[in-house]
Amino acid sequence: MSLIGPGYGESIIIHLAAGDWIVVDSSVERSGAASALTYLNQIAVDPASAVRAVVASHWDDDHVRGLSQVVAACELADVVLSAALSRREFQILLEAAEPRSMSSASGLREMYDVHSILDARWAERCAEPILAAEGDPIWERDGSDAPRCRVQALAPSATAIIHAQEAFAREIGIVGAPKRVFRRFRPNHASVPLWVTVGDDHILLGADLERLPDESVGWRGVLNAPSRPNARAAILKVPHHGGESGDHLPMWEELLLEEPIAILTPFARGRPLPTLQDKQRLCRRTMCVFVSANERSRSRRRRSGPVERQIRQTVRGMRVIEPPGGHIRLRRRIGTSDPWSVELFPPAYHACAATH
Amino acid sequence: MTHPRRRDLRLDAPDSIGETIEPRISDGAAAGLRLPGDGPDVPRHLDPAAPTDPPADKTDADAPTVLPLALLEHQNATRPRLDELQRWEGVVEEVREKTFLGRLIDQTADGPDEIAEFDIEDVSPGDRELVREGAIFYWSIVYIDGLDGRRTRSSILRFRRLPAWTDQELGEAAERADARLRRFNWD
Repeated sequence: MSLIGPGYGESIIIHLAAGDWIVVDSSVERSGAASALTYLNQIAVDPASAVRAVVASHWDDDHVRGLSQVVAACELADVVLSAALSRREFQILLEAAEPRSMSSASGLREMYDVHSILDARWAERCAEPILAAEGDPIWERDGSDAPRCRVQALAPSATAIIHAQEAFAREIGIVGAPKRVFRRFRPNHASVPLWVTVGDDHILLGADLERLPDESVGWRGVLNAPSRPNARAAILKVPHHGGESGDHLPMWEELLLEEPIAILTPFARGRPLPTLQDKQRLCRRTMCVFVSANERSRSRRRRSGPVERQIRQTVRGMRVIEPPGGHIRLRRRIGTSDPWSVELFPPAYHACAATH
Repeated sequence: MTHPRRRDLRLDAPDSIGETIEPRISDGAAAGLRLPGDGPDVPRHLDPAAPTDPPADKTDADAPTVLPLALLEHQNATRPRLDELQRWEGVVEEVREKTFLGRLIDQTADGPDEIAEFDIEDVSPGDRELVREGAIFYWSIVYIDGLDGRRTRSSILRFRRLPAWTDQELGEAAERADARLRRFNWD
């Protein structure tokens, strides 16, 4: 399993054994190339034939940048979307927010491009996307020829989908009102956390799911659901970049083994995540917390003298948003008691070593 | 090929080109420019006389008006000249009490996105109501060559005012959405 990011966004690539792969979310390198495709190419895996599913855990631009490249390259993969995105309100939002009226960096624009590919595939071969909601199986393999594998969605619940639908409806314009730029929804009720089982190993991918007061949504909803996993995972992709709003102690206590491996990508825009407090909190839960890159980029782009001087006179501060992307790779031989190996490709780092 | 006017600049000796600094000029109008309309030297988004509401059907393919050569020469002689050194498209990420954070996508050269903190008071008063999370703006750094031969370096910040929704747009969006719902059996 690899977690790559940020570059811009985050991307998870999992080998489900027996040559079957899954890609969850997408990030791009500074060149604009999708990180997942670059990595698969480096390890000589053909995305067109080996990737079984491409999952968009939600449509925030820090999770889907480059996703249309991944979907296009993974020609035979199922494309998995949150069931909330199949609601009429989201589809109107998508169609109304035509590309010309959006920022080139909009997550909605990336989803527009993904839907264009989906439309074309339907026309070519009647291929439909798979919708993911609480308890839904995303991809399965029986254990006859290879280790048993199951990828299951833990959310959104029916209630969360209604909340998301209401949020989408509020964003749809009314005649005569000025158009707006569509951005992230908070909380993100449409988010799709995943439970991945390969053989006897379990992985929990937390997406951006948050802790919310309602017992039927967010992490409380996952734990209260009849379809909740009854096993414990050794690996957690920490939700919401380690932010406090995504942290729910019962999730750690009920869904994870002791001292799990917790991996995350930072969020570098606005107020960076994880904060020092976030890392200290995570390291109290497990000492195996790994972050793919530094949460704050300190690099500046250099431009010509007059431009540099004018920048200094105009803004209070300016920096490259996303720090150079790092890579956390976790490996373990299926069916053995070998421990997981952790490989950190700079600037990925061990947060608990840095915190203590 | 490097822009010849930029290449000729002695960047390490700004005084040699009579450069003056206009601190935190955020609007072309504040720089004393009253340019009548799009011309070959004035990109539309920099022109303070141009409406900030682009037509809904405005595309990159919209070509500038082609003017007779004599008229162009006349306009060049009677207008300050803008030489754009750098341009970004920005998206407001966060609005604070007196500042906002803008994500910047370089429109001049490829490169990673950047983030900068701007003072809200540097935004034109007419644009301040637009400073909201998600708003799109354009930031340019330009040289202005005045009719008196004086060169000024300036920063121009303009917010995009999106047009209003029309009944037709929303109706067509709903039709396309409904077609996809039927196609994928999402009803």
